[in-house]
Amino acid sequence: MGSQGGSFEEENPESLIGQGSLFSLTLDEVQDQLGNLGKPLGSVNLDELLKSVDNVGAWSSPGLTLSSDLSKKTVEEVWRNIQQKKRRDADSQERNAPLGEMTLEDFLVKAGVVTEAAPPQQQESAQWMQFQHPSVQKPPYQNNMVAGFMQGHPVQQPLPAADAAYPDSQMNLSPSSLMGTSSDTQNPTRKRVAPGDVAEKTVERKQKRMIKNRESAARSRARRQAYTHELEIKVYHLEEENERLRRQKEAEVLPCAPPPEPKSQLRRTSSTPF
Amino acid sequence: MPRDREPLSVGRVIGDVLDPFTRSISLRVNYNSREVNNGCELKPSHVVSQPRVDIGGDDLRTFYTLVMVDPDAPSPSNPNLREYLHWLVTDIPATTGASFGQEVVCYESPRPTAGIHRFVFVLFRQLGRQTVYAPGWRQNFKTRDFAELYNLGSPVAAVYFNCQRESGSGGRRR
Repeated sequence: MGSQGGSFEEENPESLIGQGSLFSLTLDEVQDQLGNLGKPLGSVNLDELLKSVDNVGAWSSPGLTLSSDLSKKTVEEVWRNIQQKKRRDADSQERNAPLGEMTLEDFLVKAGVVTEAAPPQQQESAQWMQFQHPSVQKPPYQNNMVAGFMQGHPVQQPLPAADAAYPDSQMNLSPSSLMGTSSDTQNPTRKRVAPGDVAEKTVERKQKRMIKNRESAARSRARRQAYTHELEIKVYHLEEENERLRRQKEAEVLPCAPPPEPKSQLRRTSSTPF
Repeated sequence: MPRDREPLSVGRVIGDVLDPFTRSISLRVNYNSREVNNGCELKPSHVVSQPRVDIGGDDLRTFYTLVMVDPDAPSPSNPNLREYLHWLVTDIPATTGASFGQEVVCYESPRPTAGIHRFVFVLFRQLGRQTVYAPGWRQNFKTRDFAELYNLGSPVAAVYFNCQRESGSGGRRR
């Protein structure tokens, strides 16, 4: 594989070969190369796109599978999906480049097109889409390194303790890990049971527990205080109402007419002549 | 009253579920003559059946929506199902009660398994009679989003109670 890079000017436009060469082109450049598409890249079906690329002979591994629902979508739609995913993923450090400037590789990965097991770096990239952190396969990564391969590969870092309370579906990657560098050879989460790690984990666990405890205590205090305030407010209102009713009651008694007369006594006013 | 003494704030209902609002309609919730006061604790056995809900207001032509959610599902230290929708009733005429409205999502008895959960009743004023569609599932309901979706504006009333396992003795285990 010769030197790969962003500059393809010296290569014969008709014969783009070499693994990953097309991948590293931006979509704009791809569109130029695949001039025979006959319509703007945006409205091209993923199916058509792959076929055209195939024709140009750019794939070294033709066994890429395309899920049926993806193939029907146009590039435009897939791009919109990607943008939505990006927006949701607030932690993403990826630049929000317009469609044309994204590399074909990035686009395909993000579209979820890439599904096969080999080539390895594609699989890793695809897995980046699911918020998992597979252990990085270092050797193939470096061998097949293509300069244009800009996939921000996340290096898994020990989760900061505060996030332990929340499920892994949140991306908690530190910014430095995201725009993955090709020369990254440190991977702290490699399965190595060194004594240092074990101690570290215990400390980590203790911290997590302490934080959880603190939160629980805070919730407990909030609960108690909220209820106390509520009762105080209620008491205040009830006392007021009580006062009001008492005053009302007293006010009613005074100006009140004297108690009704005892039932009128019958008095003889005349006698009837029998 | 200063904001920080408002029980809904202190109990973080304002914050986790709602934004600050001004109470304008009375909302009384009674489970078998046990009235719900903010922050009071009720047992699951007390809240098995839907409560009696009486609302205030004055014009029978004004309609209200009642939402009941659990923001602490499945547990307060890990509320990844926040909020769990327990009950949704719409088109409740002012001065009446929930039994006069349309039950869009039927009442589900609170059954907390872990921790002490808050159960929040929120009342919204509707712009008019409106069709409200039940969400596909009860978990991960967002009262804020729901209100925005149906143009309900800010809440007009809210009240909440605490509830834990029937035999619970409070709080976090692990």
